[in-house]
Amino acid sequence: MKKLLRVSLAVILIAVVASFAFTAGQQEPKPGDVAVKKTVAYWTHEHPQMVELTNRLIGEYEAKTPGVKIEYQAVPHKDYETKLLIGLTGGTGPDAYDIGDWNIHAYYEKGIVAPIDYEAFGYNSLQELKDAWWPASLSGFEINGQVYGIPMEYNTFSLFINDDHFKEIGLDPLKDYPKIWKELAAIGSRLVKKDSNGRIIREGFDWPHGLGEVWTLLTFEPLVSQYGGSLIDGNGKPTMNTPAVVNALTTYSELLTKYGVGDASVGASCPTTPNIDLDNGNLTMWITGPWAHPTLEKLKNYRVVPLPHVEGRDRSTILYCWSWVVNGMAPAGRQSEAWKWLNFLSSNQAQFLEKCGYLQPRKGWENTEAYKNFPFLDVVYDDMFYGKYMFRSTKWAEQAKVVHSAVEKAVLAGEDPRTVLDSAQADAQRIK
Amino acid sequence: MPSFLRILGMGVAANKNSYIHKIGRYGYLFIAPALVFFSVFSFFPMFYALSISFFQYDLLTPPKYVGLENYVTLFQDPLFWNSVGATMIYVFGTCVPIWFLSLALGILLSIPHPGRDVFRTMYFIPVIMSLVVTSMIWKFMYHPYGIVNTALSYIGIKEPIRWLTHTKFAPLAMILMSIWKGTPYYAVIYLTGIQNIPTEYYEAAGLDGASRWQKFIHITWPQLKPTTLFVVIISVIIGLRVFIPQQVMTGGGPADSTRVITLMVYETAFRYFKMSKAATMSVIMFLFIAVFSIIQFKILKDRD
Repeated sequence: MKKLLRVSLAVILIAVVASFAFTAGQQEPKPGDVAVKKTVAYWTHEHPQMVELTNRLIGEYEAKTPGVKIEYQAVPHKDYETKLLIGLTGGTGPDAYDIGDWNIHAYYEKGIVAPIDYEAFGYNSLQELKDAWWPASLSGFEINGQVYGIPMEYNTFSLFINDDHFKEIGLDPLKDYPKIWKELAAIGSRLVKKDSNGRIIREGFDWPHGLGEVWTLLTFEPLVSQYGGSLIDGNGKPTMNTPAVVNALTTYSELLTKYGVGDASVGASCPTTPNIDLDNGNLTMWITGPWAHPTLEKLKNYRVVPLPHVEGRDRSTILYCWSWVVNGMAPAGRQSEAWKWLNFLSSNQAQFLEKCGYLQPRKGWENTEAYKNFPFLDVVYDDMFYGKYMFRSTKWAEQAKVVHSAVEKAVLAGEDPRTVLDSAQADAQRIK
Repeated sequence: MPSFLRILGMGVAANKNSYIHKIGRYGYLFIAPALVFFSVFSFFPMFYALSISFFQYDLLTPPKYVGLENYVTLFQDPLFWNSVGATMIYVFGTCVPIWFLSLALGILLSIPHPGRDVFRTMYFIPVIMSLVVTSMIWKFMYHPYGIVNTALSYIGIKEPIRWLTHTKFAPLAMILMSIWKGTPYYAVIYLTGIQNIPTEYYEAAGLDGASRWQKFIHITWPQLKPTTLFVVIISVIIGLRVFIPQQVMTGGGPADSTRVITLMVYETAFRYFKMSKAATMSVIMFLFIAVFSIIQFKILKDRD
């Protein structure tokens, strides 16, 4: 028994020493394959319509460029960042992949995004490449004079409204849609429908709940901008409890807590898409993006109107995108092939719009039928004109979580916005 | 004999060619695969986590030694203590009722009655269901207009409870689901313990005129001490490692009220790129489990 114990302890001791030696002696990750293989590993988050289109485009690309193989993986949303990180650190990650624009600074800091290879796109300079995209669309990916990604899905958030519900209460959806938040509060509370037991069976309006911090920031940050504030200042310091942010959170939370336009609890328990309540007719007004159109299978009579703004203040909306990037740790040859593949993908704007509702801001397709026929594109452009990307920070994920918790405390627990934002500011200042 | 073998204590027997010594060598061979397996997949990751807790490391850039800085920072982080609080509420809210309910259920299942076998099988169904599936189903059930609130309305609670969107009720929602799922498992463990108690003890006590309660206090409960020790320690360990219900049902919300330590470790490692901070939290969790287990052993150990 004692011998067995000694042997076991010896093995454990070896494991301990090995683990410390392994940690301390780790070098920078070496590039994967030395030889330039004509294989491009490509990962995206899972979006059924986009996955289907991508598989078709892979076939086209491989037929067009013999000797190049695209190895494609679509990863479920919830696992995507985890799997990406594990793959990139283990050397089994993709050469090209998509990320939310909000992550670009964090990924840049870690060296896992590469500067764009404009020659792979057929341009002679970076400026020439930038001129080939809509103005400001690449601004979210510019760091120290280089561009690190191109939008795959270029979005803003607008207000989708159910025409039939508006007509039910005697309103004309063409003219009487809410332009300011006060109007949304008034109309929203009229649109709420309850059954004989007092249960809400239709909400007038609701904020996203249970969809995570990205959705919260996408809907909350425009309000902050409308009040003239920001969550992070120009020096990267948090400014989460300024009067502007407090006013924004007060407006945000009071729509539910004071005006009763909706109820955070009554939405679908396990939504298959974020727009499911709108599609099912359980919700009249919902803030979402142009990609929502292909997901609205049941809802036929709806329209898209501009995002409401604060009365008496300038309009401000959000810009966001899922963007294509190339792995900064991949060998140069693979990076070049990856950028060529992304060049091909980004040249299929009409198909991405038709099949997925993905707007791509690369110029040259404005005369296509897909472009002209896409519903409410004029409203989307209008909102984009006033759009700003979410705050940029290498600690975006942690800081966004702090904001998300503060919003939940105000909306779901009814806590005082100033108090929760003071706490959020303290938490954000602690983040290193 | 090589000195390292002396250190390991091998070959100390006076006659190294004795039968017992030869058998012993084969014993090492038999356990070697398991030992290697656990070393590679359990001990090495554990000690690796311990080692990176003294570094600043994100898996992508080279590690930088920082000593105890991660521990100091963590103990000053209110969000960490919030997670500790959420975890403790969950663990004790779940485990304490489970201890009593599973014992009661185990006793009930040990009493012969018609349909006992069918009832035993039915009651074990929650245990064999996947935790992800269970969480999804309970998420539907906890909807304000779901089956739970509908049932409560029949006993006079008309106002729908916001089970998963209220900071006070969300932790309770997790606890109730976990009690439902965990009780049958420990009930079976208690049932096994009860069935191993010699019936002669009860017969002798019966002859001495002991009541049911006296039999329970003086025979059943003392005889179940090893089982109880097992149930208490394992239920707390499993409780401390909880992750799926919070991840699936609330994502740690609302407002971090169900953001248990494991969820915080996961987010810190894979969303915030802070592998070292996550490792530090894991080490602290391990220490807590170890201390708790030692205390439990001391309290419940049979001094006889």
